Amino acid sequence: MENKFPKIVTRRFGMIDPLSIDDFIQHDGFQGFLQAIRKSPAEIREAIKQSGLRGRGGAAFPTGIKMEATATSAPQETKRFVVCNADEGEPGTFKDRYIMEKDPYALIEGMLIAGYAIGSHQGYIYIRGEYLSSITTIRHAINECYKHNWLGKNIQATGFDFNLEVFIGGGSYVCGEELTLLESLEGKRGHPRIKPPYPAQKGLWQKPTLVNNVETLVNLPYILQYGASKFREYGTAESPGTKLLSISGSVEKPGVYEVPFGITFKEALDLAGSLSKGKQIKALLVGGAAGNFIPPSLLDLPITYESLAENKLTLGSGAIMVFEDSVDLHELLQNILHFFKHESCGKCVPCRIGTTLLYEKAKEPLTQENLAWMIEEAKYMARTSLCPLGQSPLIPLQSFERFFNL
Amino acid sequence: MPEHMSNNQWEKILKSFPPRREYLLQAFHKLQESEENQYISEEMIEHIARYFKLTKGEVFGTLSYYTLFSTKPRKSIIVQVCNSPLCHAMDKKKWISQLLQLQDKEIHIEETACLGHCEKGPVIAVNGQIISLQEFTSVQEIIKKIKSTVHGK
Amino acid sequence: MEKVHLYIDGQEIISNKGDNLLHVARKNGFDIPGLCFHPRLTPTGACRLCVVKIKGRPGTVMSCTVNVEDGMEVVAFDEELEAQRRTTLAHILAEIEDSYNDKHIDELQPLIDRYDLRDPSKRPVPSILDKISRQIDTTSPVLQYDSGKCIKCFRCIKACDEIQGKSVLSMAERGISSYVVAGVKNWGTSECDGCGECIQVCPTGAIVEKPYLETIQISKIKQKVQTTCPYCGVGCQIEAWVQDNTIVRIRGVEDKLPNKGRLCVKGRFGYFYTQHEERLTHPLIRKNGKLEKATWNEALDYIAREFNRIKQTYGKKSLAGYGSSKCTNEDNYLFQKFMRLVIGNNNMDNCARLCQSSAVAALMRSLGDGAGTNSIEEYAQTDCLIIVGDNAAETHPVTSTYMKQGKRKGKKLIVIDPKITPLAKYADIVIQPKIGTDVALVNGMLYYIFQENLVNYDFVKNKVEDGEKMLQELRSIAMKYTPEVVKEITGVEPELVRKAAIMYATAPSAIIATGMGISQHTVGTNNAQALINMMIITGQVGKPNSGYSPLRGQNNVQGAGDMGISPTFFPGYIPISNENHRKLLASVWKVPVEEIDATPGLTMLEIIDAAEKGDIKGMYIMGENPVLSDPDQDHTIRALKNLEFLLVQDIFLTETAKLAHVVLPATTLFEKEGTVVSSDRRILRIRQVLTPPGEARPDWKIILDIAERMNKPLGTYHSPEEIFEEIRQVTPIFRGVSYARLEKEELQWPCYDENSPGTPTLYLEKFSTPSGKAKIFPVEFIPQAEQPNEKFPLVMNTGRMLNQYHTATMSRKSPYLNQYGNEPYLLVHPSDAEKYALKTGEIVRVVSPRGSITSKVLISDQVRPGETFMPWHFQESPANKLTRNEKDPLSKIAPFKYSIIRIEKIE
Repeated sequence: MENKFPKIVTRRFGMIDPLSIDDFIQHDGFQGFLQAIRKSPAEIREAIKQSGLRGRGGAAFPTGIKMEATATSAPQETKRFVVCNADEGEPGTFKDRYIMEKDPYALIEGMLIAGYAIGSHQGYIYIRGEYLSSITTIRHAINECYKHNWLGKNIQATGFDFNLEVFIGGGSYVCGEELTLLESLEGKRGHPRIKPPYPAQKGLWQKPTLVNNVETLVNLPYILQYGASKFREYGTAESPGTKLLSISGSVEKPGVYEVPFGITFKEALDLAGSLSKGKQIKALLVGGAAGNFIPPSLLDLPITYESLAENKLTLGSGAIMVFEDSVDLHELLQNILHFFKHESCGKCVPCRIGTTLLYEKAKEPLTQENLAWMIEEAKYMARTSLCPLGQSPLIPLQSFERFFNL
Repeated sequence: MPEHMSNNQWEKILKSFPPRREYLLQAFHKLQESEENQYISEEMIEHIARYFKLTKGEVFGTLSYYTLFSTKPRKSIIVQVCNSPLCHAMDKKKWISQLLQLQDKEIHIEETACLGHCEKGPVIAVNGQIISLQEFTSVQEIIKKIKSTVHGK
Repeated sequence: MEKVHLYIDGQEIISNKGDNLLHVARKNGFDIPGLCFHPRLTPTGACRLCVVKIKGRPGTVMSCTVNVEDGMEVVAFDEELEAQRRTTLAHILAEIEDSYNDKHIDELQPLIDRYDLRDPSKRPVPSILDKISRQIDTTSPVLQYDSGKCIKCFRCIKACDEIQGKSVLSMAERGISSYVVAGVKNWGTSECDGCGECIQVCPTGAIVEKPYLETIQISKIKQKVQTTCPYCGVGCQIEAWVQDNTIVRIRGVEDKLPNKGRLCVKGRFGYFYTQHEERLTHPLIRKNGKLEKATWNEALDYIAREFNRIKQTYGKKSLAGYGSSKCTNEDNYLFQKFMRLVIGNNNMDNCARLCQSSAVAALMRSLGDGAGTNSIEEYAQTDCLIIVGDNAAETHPVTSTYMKQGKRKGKKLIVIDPKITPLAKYADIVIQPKIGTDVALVNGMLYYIFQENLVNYDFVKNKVEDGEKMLQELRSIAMKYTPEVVKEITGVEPELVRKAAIMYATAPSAIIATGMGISQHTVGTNNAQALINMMIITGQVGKPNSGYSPLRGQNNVQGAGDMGISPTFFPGYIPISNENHRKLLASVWKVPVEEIDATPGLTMLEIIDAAEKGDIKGMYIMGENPVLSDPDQDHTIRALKNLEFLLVQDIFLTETAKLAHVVLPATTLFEKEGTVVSSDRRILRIRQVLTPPGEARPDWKIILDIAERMNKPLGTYHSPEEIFEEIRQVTPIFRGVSYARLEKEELQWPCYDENSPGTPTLYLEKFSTPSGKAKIFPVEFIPQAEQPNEKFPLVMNTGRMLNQYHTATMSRKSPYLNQYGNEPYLLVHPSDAEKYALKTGEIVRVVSPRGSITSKVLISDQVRPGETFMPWHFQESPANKLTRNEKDPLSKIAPFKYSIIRIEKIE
């Protein structure tokens, strides 16, 4: 099925040479920034708030509100930072990688707008160490921008200074959590901080910091160029705009698909081609390892934050992994729990020990009793852990129990 | 190609970064990839500590947290085998378990968490470069591809 | 402090706004469990035991991460919370081996019983100990780490980082494989210096001390005595644990100044000397050239006979004495009373003469008191700390932790030293001038202070004698020290001098701290004076967190001076010429006033000179080892051998004692009661922990015995407290202090009466000079009399190590301290090593005009080219064989810091 849906984030994918700044500029490049710079930062933030854009990394927090908080906290502070979270570590997720490989300048433009909006002149892009190709592309794009005065001092004679640097991660999923990311960016071990304070108040080196996902940031140029109302033409009232879905597994055309909020899971899967021939869907894993199992019976559910929430489900990063009939779900559960055990930072007791307990239990036969034990343990971890990782195993376990009979 | 880099080369790499803690991981990456056996030795750690004005424990503690760095000598070809839920489920020919048991004097095999290339899964990374295992018919073929990816350059 | 009202389980609590909720709850009797929280550290939130419910906040909250606010309503205990805590505790137990072997203080064990988890079958989660690899590190000389007992609470890591400022420890790996490391997984080769802060904060047996690990049984230890550490001048409060009459462990006393629980490796692991087999246990008398065991009766007779004979034959002035900085105030007070009344002269001195006498002399004439102006906490509070010629990290380790804490809070630190010391790593400005050029450097700073108009004119006008006139005098001298002149003399770049001057002068408050690098020169007084002048014209004194602190090296060197072991002062620094005070002393001592000699006696090195000449015939040395600590060793030995009678009173047969006619066995600070005075004028209690070995007696008793035997009894004292009561009567600055008050209060002199709280910071109202104003004494740079030449091309500096102490009589008796370094070495700059073809580890001969010794070479860029450094602890290679016996004209100190040498290769 052809994708006739609107393209906001993916509008340049395949249309340009990703490394060419000229190509980018010829295809609306930097128009959003040039619009933004004519307005005041407060007006920009208002526009973002109006658009209803929500964080696309998984937390879905309203971006405009986050920006407002970061811009106005600690008024006496002269240094503020913008950090792009490109530590895409959620299993099944690769949309940010696509953006960085296929339209790197769009990310830079997004950061320029974000920087201007919150009064920051220094940005960092934290890219996971495994994304060699993204690192190369983004570094090239930044160099080109400096060469052509789209970064550095007095950008295009607007009077706005902005510096941007790439920092590479060392291989740690939990460094995708914003406060842990900041610790890693500061050159330390990836342990989450106590919150509050939040990055908006005390972030990088204890200064107000805006941490946003790649996809969130590349939405900004469109909103500034075409306006919040245009953005709101897509999606729903509570979930405006579009979402990049990373669809993989037993489908004909795995890849990244941009869809407006509101289409159903079935419609999304149709974009990726029907199931590989002769196969039946056993389950979708939506949102990543910290995601929900969704049975075939729920494929008509609209993809919006609100309708998923109504059904006690979450979208997470927008990863959709399609598992066919032959997949052993017990093995899958083991694999997921092994992942959490491996990625636990080890700071807090419930997660450090709980993730091992869960993995050991998952290796045993998958009985009703054992599943109930694991869910109790996961509930305890969800109540007491220091950060979202420890709170996560409950999600796949609970959805598993809900939808699958043993 | 010398087995171990000299101190001068380490100093050169270190000096390419400002001596501030936020550049620690960045220095780890550069130092490790320039070392034949792709690791960070205790000697290197002493130089790093001195340059960044940290203690050896702070350097080692940070280093040992992250999976991409090794404190033990590996080999010149590092192969990361993705064993995430998706790749595991798509690995119909069971390449993953076979590769994880591989013994080769040039290749160091490691299991890794999701590499973010699920659309091509199952995948491996060869010195960082992604190769999909979808179309292979034997482990020997895979090994051949691994070596040619590195040497063929 | 804004007060807030909060409610815990319905009970109203009043606290300070922003206080830590867990801490407040516990202080008010709510025993909320929590293992990763420690009141001296920032909260971590790792153990998840301290969970509470707070009205208005969803779910549960960790109380250690919350700051109290007005109106807060907290539920500390209910069924749900207790159940959650029990589950969390069960998780903690799952990853460790939780047996208790009675070898450490354990905070986990009581919780196991409290939550009924002792029986493994009752635990809701299974053990996963066999699924983890256990990391055990026994490579440290003083402690061991076992990850199988470690609950990963981060307290040790934070303590090393936040309290000690060393950051040696870190967590390694991650997740369930986490464990604590020092260095690259090897404590023994890490930067750990054995301070043991980690041991003290560890809540389980994961980190424990090594000494007595096999035999210690905590539950059997009934005797835990709080006393003062016998080593340096910080005066750390320690708690000594005794099992079977042996000290088996020492801990820092939490919540008590000056150290608040902190210690260094010497304090924690250096107590072995007091029960060492080489302790003197009987008097010794020289018979037929050999020292032989004798009875107290024999010894006292002999001593009395000789002292009387020498007095009669050669006159009262032919005898002299050395008091002891390692003895109590009570010991020293009686010593000076003995010298003044029984011997009848003022020929006495204490080792402050070799140490801070220069700074003391300069302070005394400029400000009126010869002691440091500030309290230890002020090092963390002052806006700018400038530390000159003092290796605080190794000589006052606990004081340096306050300095580092100040740095972390954004305060400024300037380090000036010809050798790069550990504190330089933390400094904002590091200045490495050539040895002996400090006056030029400081006058160079004054140049910029005048240039940039940073003089505090108000202060100069109102608080300085002849302020305007002296300012002009100082200015005309300072303006000669142009950047070019200063660079020529000191080797320091003008920009650094300027930055340091501005940083110091413009700081809202500032402290100058100095050590031997300033004092131990023939121009030592001038060195200190130059700094004091700078302090006065910038007004950085006479207000909180500001002033001048000469850090005192020994446990009671301050007290020895306070007690009048001086040729020119009575106890309390009252000049012997003060007629009124002599009358007071005479009435208290019940003697005619004429008996108290008013003529100044000889200083320490003058005594040795006089002994060599033959003017001094007899000496009484109490707790001092001049053969190793005085300059020009050959001259010292000749002098002592020239005496007709030498009495040495000590705890070991030191190199000096070996030359004596009579040696008396004394007690250590663990074996008597008394008081000592620390670097910040703090009067601290010494409490008895052990009984003395053999026939050893407390020094104060020995002095009384000798006086008695000489038919001039000094009085009847049944205890050191009675001696202290007399001290109070004659020493105004101590008048308000008493043993009773010391049980409950922190007291720093001056403390003039029982209602006075003592004086943490000096000169807040006026100075102690007769006019009440400060005095400026402009000084000029004077080049060293000895300069490197062809025969002796290098300069040798001397100093100390962290783990050894002075003449190492005490420290070398600890097998634990020795593992951190037990042999002499000479630091040589790489360019000099190349020039003289030297390799690290090579043994060479080091020669000065005074003599030669052998030593190992260590190539290091800590020293400047042309300069070297050697520690003076080691009797087999005594650095003082090479130093010279010149004197500073005012302080009479010798230039230990500057000797010319050459290095000879040994074939």
